[in-house]
Amino acid sequence: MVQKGKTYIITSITKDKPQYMNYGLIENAIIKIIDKSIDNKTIFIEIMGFNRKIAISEEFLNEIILTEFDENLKKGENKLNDSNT
Amino acid sequence: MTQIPKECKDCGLVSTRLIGIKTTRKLRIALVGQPNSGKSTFFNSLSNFKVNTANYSGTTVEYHITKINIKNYQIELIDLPGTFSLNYTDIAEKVTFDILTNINQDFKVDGIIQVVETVSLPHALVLTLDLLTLDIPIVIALNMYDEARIKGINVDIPALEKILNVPVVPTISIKGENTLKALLKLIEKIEKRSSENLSDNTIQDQFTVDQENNFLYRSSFAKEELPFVIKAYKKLWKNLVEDIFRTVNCHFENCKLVPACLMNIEKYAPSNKSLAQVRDEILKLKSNIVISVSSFVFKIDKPRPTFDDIADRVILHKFWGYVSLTIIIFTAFYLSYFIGNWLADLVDKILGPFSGYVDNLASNKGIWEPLIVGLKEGIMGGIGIVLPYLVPFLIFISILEDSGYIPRMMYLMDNFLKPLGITGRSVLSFVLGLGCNVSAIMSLRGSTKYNERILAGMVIPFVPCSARTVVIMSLVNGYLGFIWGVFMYLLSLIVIMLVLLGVNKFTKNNLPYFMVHIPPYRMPSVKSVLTKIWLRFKSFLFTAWPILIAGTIILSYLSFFKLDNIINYAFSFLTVGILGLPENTAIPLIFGILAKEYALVMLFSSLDNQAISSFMTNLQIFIFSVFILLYTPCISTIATQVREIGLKYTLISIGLSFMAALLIAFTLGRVFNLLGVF
Repeated sequence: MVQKGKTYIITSITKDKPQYMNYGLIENAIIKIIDKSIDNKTIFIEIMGFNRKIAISEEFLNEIILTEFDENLKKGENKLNDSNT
Repeated sequence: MTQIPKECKDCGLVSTRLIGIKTTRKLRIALVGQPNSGKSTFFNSLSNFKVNTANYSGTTVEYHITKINIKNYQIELIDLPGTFSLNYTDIAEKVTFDILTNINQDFKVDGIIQVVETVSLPHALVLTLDLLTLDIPIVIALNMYDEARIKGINVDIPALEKILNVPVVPTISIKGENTLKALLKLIEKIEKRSSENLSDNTIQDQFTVDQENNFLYRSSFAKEELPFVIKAYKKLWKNLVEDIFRTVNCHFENCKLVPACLMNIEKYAPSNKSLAQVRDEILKLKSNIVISVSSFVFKIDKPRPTFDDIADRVILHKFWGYVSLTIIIFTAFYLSYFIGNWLADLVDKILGPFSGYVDNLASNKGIWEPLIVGLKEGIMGGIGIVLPYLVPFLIFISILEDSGYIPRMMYLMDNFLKPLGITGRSVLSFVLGLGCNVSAIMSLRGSTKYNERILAGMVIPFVPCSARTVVIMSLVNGYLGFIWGVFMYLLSLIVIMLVLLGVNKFTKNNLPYFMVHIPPYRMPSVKSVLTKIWLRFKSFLFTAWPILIAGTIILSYLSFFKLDNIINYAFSFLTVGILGLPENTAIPLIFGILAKEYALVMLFSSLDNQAISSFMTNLQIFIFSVFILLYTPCISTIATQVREIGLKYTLISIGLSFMAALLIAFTLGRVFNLLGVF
């Protein structure tokens, strides 16, 4: 189960990939769980870098394989890239 | 121009291959874009034709066409319903799919302007890459560019043009800036394309087939590689997919529909998993292209949290979200009532002397008297009773639509609607229903599931539309007090919930999942709000009002020839017997089926300007209003229901609403009488 405030990377989408892509949920995209509804069944997420926010049923999100994403690691990688350039 | 229609044996889709170059000066240009990207505003800015716009997905559920003349071309400009990609998930998106792929063979599109909401360019690229596979000249309009700059978003336009090999024009369609430029760029591209003999050879092949296939297994690309990767992506669609179709003896060489067809393969050939697997491989490449392109051309420089982030913490909060929802709705209705009352009094003061003058003029005019009186009643009914409450209410609905709040309502309400068999997505239709049930039922085309569409389509007529709001505000609030007006809305809400629960239990509706975009907040512009009000007011002015005037004239003649008593007597078993109303409320109730506000105007008209309070008790006013609120939908709503959910469910809906109106009006009348409420 995804947790509020955490960031995840979409590793793969197991079912009906085009439908998820329609909402910007594409492989390798990073999503942040902003909030959950009272019953925790509807999740409010942001697709990082896409400037897109969506509300999605938990059942829909279950079809996506997510890996927790360490933002600090990403920042570190960016700094490394900057120093290389 | 010669067309060779061909039909895919597997999926049934028909492709049209064109031979020869078009010599006519007519061009058909489609505005395509994701929902809420501003296509309709773009369309409005290029034409005198006005279509409705809003800050949520799915405002346009059918296409609009206008003709404009530019550069010796007669351009047929089409505003298509928003679509996220060529994978359509609802009826509205299928309209766009069918037109872009020319499935019906009679509607070939010569060029596409992809209207992109600049703040979400990366997401729009999902659609761009699909459109590129159609081999139709494209120009990208980076719309709402000013908003993107304010939000600290920078787009490297030259780099984007180079990568996609597509002209990109920054536009602000609400101000009409650069919309014409985008159209001219597209015409230029179409002309250039014709001279290049319909092929895209501007990017020379630099990679071998093996290298191109290798792109499938890479997750990132260098900026310089991307134009070639995108060209390879287009070729991969054709090569890989045609191989598959050849093996199943289906599609034919150079079929333009292949990628589009494969995007929807689950719909056409659900058992063919291998095709979906191949499609998903290419979609992986597509995802990687989208992310790579975005990383090079799209930068956000604004520090977090933004205004939207902070506002959402309150608006979508588990407690404060619902508090703010209640305050927003209550304030809006109270303001509509307050302003409506003030306007009604003002109109009454201005038109009062005029009314007396016309009455004097009509007296002793024989057969012409009913005509003059009926005409006066109809005109003054529209100005004095309907418009004062209609206009403030439409302002409120328009502001709500443009602000971006409605999708947030969907999120907040999703929890509560699930047990009733519908998702938060239906909130949009219910809110639109407050304006007009017809547009609310039309908006159900955006629902992904048939069951949800049917269920919501049957229940929407219970939503008090602006016509019924006029009745509530004028009759209930005016004679019984504001609190009884609130009671009427709560009553509607309870009835809607009960009907949903009942129908859902009976049909065992499989609940669809819920996924909706939350757009950025926007300050509604005066121009946009006024346009919306005009569009809705226009339908009253040119459709409802003339019928209303005709109705009051007919009633006037019925009264003149003493025929109204016969009709009223024929229905007295219902009005007097069951509901306990005065006998002459029958004709207003019959006219109310045409449009709800008619019932009110006809009621005033049938009383010959007597005060309602001297003719009906407060309890009777209450029963009459409850019956008007709930009984059969108006004729326009019924026609729309038949078209959208079918005759069977429309008849069930009419039966349900009539029974509910009868039962509730009767029961509440008896109970309130016993309790001595009024």
